[in-house]
Amino acid sequence: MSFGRSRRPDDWPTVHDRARSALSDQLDGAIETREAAWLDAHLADCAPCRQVADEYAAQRFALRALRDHQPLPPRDLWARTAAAIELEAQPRSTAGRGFSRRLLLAPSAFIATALVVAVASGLLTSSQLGGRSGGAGSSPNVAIASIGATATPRELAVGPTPIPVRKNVEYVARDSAGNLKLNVKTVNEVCPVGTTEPCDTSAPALERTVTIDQDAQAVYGSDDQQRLIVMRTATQDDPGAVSVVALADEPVVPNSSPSETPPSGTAAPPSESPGPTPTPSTPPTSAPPGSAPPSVPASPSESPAVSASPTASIDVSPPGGGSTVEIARGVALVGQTASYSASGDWFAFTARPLDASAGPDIYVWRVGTPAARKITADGRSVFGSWVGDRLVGSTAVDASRGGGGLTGLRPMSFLFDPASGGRTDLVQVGSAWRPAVDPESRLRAVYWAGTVRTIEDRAIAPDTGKLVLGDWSDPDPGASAEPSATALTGDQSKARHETTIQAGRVDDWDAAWDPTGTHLAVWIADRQDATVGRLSLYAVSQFDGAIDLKSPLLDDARALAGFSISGGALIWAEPANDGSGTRDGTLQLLAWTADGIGTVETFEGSALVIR
Amino acid sequence: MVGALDTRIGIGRGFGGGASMSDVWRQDAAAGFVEELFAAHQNEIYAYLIRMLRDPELAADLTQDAFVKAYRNYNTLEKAENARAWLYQIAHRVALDHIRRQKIVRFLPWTGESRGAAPSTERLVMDAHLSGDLQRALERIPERQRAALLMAELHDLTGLELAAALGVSHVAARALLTRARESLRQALAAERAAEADADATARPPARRGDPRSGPAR
Repeated sequence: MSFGRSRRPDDWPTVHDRARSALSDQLDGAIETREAAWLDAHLADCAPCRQVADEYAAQRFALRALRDHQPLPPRDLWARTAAAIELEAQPRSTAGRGFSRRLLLAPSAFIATALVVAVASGLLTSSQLGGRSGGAGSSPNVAIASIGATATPRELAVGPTPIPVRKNVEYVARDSAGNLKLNVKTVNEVCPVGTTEPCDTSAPALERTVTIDQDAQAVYGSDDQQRLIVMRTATQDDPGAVSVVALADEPVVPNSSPSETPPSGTAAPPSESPGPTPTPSTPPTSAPPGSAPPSVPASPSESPAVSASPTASIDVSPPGGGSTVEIARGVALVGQTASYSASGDWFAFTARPLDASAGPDIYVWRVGTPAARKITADGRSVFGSWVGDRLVGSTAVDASRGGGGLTGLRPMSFLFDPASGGRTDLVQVGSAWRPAVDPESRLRAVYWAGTVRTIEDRAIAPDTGKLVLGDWSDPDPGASAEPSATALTGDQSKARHETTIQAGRVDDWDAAWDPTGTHLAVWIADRQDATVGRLSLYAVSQFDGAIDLKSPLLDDARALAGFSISGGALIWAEPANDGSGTRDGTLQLLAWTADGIGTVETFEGSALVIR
Repeated sequence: MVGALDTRIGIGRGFGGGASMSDVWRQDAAAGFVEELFAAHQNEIYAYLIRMLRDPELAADLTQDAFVKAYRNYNTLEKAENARAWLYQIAHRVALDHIRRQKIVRFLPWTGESRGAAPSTERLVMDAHLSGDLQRALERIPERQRAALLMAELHDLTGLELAAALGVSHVAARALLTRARESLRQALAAERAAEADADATARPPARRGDPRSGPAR
């Protein structure tokens, strides 16, 4: 095995890391002479590294020994595969071509016929290669969900049979007493698009008495079902807050003090390393009047734990959960984009001081700690998305700084590692504001390509440009030897293969990928009322990541801000048709399964989707 | 087999005139091509998937999926000589998709939904011929690292093929292999330490943050 490009000696944190890397490269035959000499010299002096070298060699031996034991596939595998391909081909095939018959050859006949097939199909392969662009319209569907949804809604508009699914719709709704409660409703089937038969929507909702802030503006769930993050709008009497509501016992570890302004720079490193470090200088404030409802057994202010013992983990949650800890206070949330990192260990959002004394900055909360930390301090930064456990943010910089003859502000995106505080400017992606990066491939992102401007309350809004889907590239965390980034020059649109999602004025949007990277949902706020917008869903080709923006699975559906996309389902709140734009409307679920795509209306009333 | 594909396409090029071919013929081409790929690579793709997923039936299902996807995306293969890496890339994504979906299913809230019990360790060892230590250590390292190691060490992918199959740059593939070797080394050491411990018959599953589960991706 051989690879290109060598690395520099200062690419590794320690010489031992360098030695391990060199040992690995040596096993692959990819080591340069000079590096090999360095390695030899290092090994001579480093007994632990020699031990590592021996273990790498033993590990290779053990792995390679497995080559002698090749598991054999079942004998009927070809028959099964051919049948599946036949099914795949049938709708597009002309009857009587003999195509299916040939595919279903018995395995024993398979090899004997391979040569004939090879010659015959050679012509056809050539035609395919030669005619690819011209024949694009007839090429097989590539908008394929990983679990088998292979067609667009139009093609699926057949058959009245509801599609069985098993999805949970989580939402927050008011009970008869007017209190917001957490609800989970299981949906067992969805209606294929175009069907007239109603689906069964009678499944009762499981209501959970976790009391939520009455002024909740947005609620975020976590993969591990441990907590909700509730964002509360500021009111005349209440400065607004971001709170964590425990759904089960969860330890809170005191951490370095969060939302203080970092010392300097656009992205300040954490003042202390994260983790169970002591001395929280700002213990979480107790909940303001009215926000800690009586049903909460113990408010944070009463918990001795939160008064920050500097040592071990502390449990602020009474058994059964329900306690609330404010992780940020006195801030106004900016935009709709906030989310957990891939591991679920971090949560990021954008906020600004309530009095608009500064513009937006990015906040990061580490699960289990008592407060969110502000990680930028320029008042011009917004959160975009997570790439693994590193966040992608954007800062509005003076256009002159980046050249290009622009005036005003242009976006500069960056990667930030909340664990280490390391920041990397991503000059190679060009002008990309608030990128929502495909978490799976990390090769595509939705972002604003263009300039931005300051609007009222020091907020930053897109200016000239367009909302696009474009190529993405960021350095792999382990590959510190990526070629050093150079600023994108020339035609960004062409260089990054940008496809326009929305041209013209866009005030706010929220783009989110299914965690498996198979689907992309984009919500764009209306100009008149930014709490209402239009939601579309697109399938991502599992092979090359291509997205056909012209064939959305959901096309511009009216939706309130805040949707959920995961586990094969998109959930959103459709506003009432009375034009009031209030939360009185319906909850909609669109699910994709191997059987197709369908939607169902699951709840009518005033509800917030748990994102 | 790659050579045979080259020849086949070479013959075809001599005839030209591709744009006028009918869709059905294109499908025939794709089907024939996938048949050839299947004959040449089914064993290694199946072996790769069984080593990644440790479940023979699942590996067979996903092998089938991978070849159906190859058929479906036939027109995205630019050069026949890249067919093997392309196929590994498809199989890799199919495997990762499955693993991720399993994780999602596992975390479905409050319903206890699951995809059924995993096959027994004995059966896995029998099927995949992995030693217990190595098997468990491989299970502990992140999937992408496991994939990189299997492809490089067992399936003999070249550096270029590995990068293509993983969908990353050469440098990133090399770095991933470095991390994978180190993760496996640590995981093996942890396994052996656990074995040495006389009462460690019932091992708890590796958790995030568990030092024995090796470095994160």
